[in-house]
Amino acid sequence: MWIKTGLAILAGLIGGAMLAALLVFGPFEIGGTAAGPWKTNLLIGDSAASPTVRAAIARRGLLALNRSETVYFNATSDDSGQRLREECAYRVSFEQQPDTRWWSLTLYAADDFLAVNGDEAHSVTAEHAAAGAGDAMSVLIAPSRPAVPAFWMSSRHAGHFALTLRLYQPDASISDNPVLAALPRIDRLSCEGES
Amino acid sequence: MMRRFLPLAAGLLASGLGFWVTLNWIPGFIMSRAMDQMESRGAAANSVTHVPPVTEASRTVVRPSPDILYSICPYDLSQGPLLIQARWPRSGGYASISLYDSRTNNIFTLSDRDTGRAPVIWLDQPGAAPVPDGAIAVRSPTETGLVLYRRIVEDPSMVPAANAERRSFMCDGQ
Repeated sequence: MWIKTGLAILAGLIGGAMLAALLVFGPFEIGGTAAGPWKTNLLIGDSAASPTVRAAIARRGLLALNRSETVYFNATSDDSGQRLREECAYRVSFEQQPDTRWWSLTLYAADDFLAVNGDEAHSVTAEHAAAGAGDAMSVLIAPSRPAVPAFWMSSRHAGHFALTLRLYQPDASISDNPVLAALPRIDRLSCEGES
Repeated sequence: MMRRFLPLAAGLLASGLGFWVTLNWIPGFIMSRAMDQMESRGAAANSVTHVPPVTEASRTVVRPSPDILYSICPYDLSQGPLLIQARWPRSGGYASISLYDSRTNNIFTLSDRDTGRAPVIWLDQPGAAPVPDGAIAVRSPTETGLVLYRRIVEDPSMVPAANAERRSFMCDGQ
């Protein structure tokens, strides 16, 4: 019986460790608040975060700031719930600018780093919006540069990509309740191979 | 009867323990791996490294912003406190200094909106020596960690000026 118990303990320790690793390094979103396709975690950078949340944030948001300084929204799907992927084109539409000191929208490849494509089109920022007319703006996400001038982010070689919207020093109402932020829509326009 | 269930009960308890220990170990492991990578690229403890502007070749810390200049100072308080200084941008652009312990907690952040133009931070372990006049005291719950300076670059043409300005960010072991 003691041999059985010893083996059960060993199997339990290994199984528990593997489950934890799968939870953190697997394709799961742990905790957080959602507004449409956009998700954020109020406990980023907070020592009050549970071990699970802390580990998940260390994996995907190492060295992030806490929410009083910056609110980070991440999206891995469009507004219809379809996974974002490089074979498709998307339009990200801001009806109004986020109420924040500065913002940026960045596209990350499946490995959580900038896509290696040489296109130099990884992000759009508040300055781009300021250069446009009015509060509304839209950004095209596609694997190739659009024929007509547009705010463009390249998804070439990005695989199943993610978008991160950073709101630096947001209005207090947003850091208190991030789902109140004016977040852009993400609409799929077309996909390769679809007529 | 109890003897029959002992292996099952022990296995379940052990799986919970394995799960909890691993979850608590992962943040420190990820932080330590990132700091090792920084050190292998030349970042030394208690001194500043001005990281080149982020490009698609940047592969040390996940999800870096290509619109922000980063400077880092891995800290080790085993030999004494750390004096951190900077000057905020003249242009009025965003800059901040944030401190992370070795378990990835953001223990302190100071931005250009919070203080005068030349902040001074005294980083030490809990219960350590007195703080110099005029310095902001921060106690790190862990002996090692990272100081991170961020400077938003509103326009690519501002990179040279922002690069020059961030040279004012310094950290010195005392």
